[in-house]
Amino acid sequence: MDLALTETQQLLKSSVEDFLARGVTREAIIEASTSPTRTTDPMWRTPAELGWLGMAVPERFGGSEASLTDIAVLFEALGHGPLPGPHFSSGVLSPLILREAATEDQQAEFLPRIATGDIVVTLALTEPEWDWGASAVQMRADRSGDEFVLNGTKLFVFDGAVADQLIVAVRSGDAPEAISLLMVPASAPGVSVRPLQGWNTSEAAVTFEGVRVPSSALIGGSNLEGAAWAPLERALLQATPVLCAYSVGGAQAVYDMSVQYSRERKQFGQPIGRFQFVQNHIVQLVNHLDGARWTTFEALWKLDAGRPNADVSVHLAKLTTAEGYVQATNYAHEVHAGVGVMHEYGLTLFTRTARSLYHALGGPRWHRKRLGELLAALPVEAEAAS
Amino acid sequence: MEAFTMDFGWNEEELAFREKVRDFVHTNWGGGDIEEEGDEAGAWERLRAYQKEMAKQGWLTMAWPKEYGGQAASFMEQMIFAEESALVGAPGSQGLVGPTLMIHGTEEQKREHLPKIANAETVWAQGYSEPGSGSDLASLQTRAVRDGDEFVLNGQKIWTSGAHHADWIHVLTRTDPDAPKHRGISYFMAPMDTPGITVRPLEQMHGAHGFNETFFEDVRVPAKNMIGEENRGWYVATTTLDFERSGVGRAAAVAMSLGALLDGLAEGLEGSSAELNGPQRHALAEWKMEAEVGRIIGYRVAWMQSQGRVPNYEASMSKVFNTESTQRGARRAINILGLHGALKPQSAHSVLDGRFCQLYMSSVARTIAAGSSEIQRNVIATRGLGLPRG
Repeated sequence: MDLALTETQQLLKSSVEDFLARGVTREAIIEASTSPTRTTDPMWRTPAELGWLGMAVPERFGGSEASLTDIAVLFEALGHGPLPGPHFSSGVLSPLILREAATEDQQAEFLPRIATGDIVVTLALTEPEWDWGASAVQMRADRSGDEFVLNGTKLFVFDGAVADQLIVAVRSGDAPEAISLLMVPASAPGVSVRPLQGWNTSEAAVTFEGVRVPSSALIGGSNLEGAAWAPLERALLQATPVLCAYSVGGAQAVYDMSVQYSRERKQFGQPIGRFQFVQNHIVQLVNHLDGARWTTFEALWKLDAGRPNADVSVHLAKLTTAEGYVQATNYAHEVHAGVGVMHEYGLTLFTRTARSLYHALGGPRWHRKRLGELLAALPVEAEAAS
Repeated sequence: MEAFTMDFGWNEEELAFREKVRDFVHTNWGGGDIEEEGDEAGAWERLRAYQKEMAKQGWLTMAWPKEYGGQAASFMEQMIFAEESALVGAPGSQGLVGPTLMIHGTEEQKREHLPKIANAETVWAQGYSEPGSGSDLASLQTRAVRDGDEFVLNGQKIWTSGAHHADWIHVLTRTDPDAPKHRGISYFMAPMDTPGITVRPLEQMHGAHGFNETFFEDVRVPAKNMIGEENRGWYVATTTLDFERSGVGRAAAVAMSLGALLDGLAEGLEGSSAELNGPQRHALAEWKMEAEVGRIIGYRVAWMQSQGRVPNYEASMSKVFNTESTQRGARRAINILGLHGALKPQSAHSVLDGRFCQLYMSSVARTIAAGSSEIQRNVIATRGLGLPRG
């Protein structure tokens, strides 16, 4: 067993820390958090130049094809900012989907530009009757000659407001997993993108009205028509713990802030960190942080090392991390009291991010259900051995 | 025959009063939760108009003696008013500076200020907390130095609610830096348009601007605007205020939020199923439990006061319990409503007018303001449970 970061991972972590300390400060992030796109130039271009957007892209397409753990180390550091922007959607989730599902030609068409940051790609899956999983996809794309015609609405499309291309999940049949994926340009006639106003300013509602795309837009070609759920699920399994790592970084940040504040803030003539209540809040916080961190990295190890039952670990990590990040921010608020409530201080960036990510890539209800199903199907001995 | 059983009910007068208040709040408030209003400007107009209607009924300052424009309302009446108001999200009666003036003010001060507060003519801001003095309020540093028949104030206050709208501010200052901290404080009143007072808005996490920083730079205040004696300001400000401290308003708000969610789910909400699963039903049951417990412990405080007994830890308990219930309720709602619950009131696809999006963020401050949960727990432990001081 070796739970230390490798040298490569250490370097990745340091370079992100450098970037956040000098290139993009927390003040800049606070300011950017009120603008609809939330991605000012340095927050996107510098990561692109440093190759961070190509880590999930194969080398033959201009990426570095790093391990999921390496990518997660990077995203944990980004989550400490918390750096806003479509880095995960476009730099992790989309390339993983294309690697699992797209034809070689389609990969060649999109992956290089994803790696350079020249295009932003995101997944459009959830619909207004919000749910997760294959059954959440009800929108159909009708065949019309050599084209598909899309009508419907995708909701809570993360980074939808800044995407150039949308990977749209549509239903091709009545069987539960009869899903297809279509690559749709956001600029196609009939596509309208409307940013949703909530805590996360990058989510959008995307409406399709008679949107026509050629049949070549079908990701994976005709082989994957109505059969794209399995590769999509594989991609999600790999991407989810990377998103968890981003959340771990955020929980780490609020932990750091809380410890520092408890040392600096004085009331009643002493640092508030001497009061047992404050200590308890921080202890609870670190319990959540550590639970999130280690379940996430174990899931990543299982995926990278090809261990069995990685899916069990991924669902577990998502559950622990989603709850852990939210709870971490709750405790951080208790420690910070008044100053933490003010937007300008910066703690609320994490509070909003934590809450927004709680339901991203499936909420706890869905992951609990999947975890339960998988555990019920496991032979008891195998569980201990994995 | 003496009653040998407890009575959790209301007598005829109380029921009649409750109906009268219910009519009033439904007619005049018209919905929306005063605690959650994000659109600050519109919210302020609405609040002022409503307060004027309350003032016409004598309810704005209902606890005050009649000679000062009040109704001398009983504790039960005050509590009923607070509960019925909170059930529709309407604001409650006024407190703070009025009662302080009644007890410690000069006749001239009472004549000048009390009628205008009772009539909703003047609006007051409270200048207590400072960046360096939150829970340890007595450590406050804003200085007031005597200069002839005036005092010159210098310093900074924070969390001043409504300072941007206020006509007057009541402010705690340090007049004797050498005395032990509680004994060097004096209490002043000043018009907000006094030269040297500046207000800087603070944006809170739910987007509302209710709080401000208030700066005092060589602000000259006449000595006659001091309330009570010099250096006795701490004791003036902490006078046990003789109005109800039940906190039932908070409990009622918890119940109201639950009701709104249940109604919404029954009618059908985008993104949510009316068919709740087991854990969701349990969560709602817990929420209901908390609303009921909060209500009853609030009633207990009001009943104690109506019996002439002074609640101390019971009021703290009500505050801690109900503010924490509010937070738990907001979290449960968001967990049930999913991503739809995270959308602001003005957003497309928001549900229940975005109320839980707002409540989730605004509820964070509830366990901090008006005596943090940590301080309240100390009070409960030491005053209520007789535990040794730490």
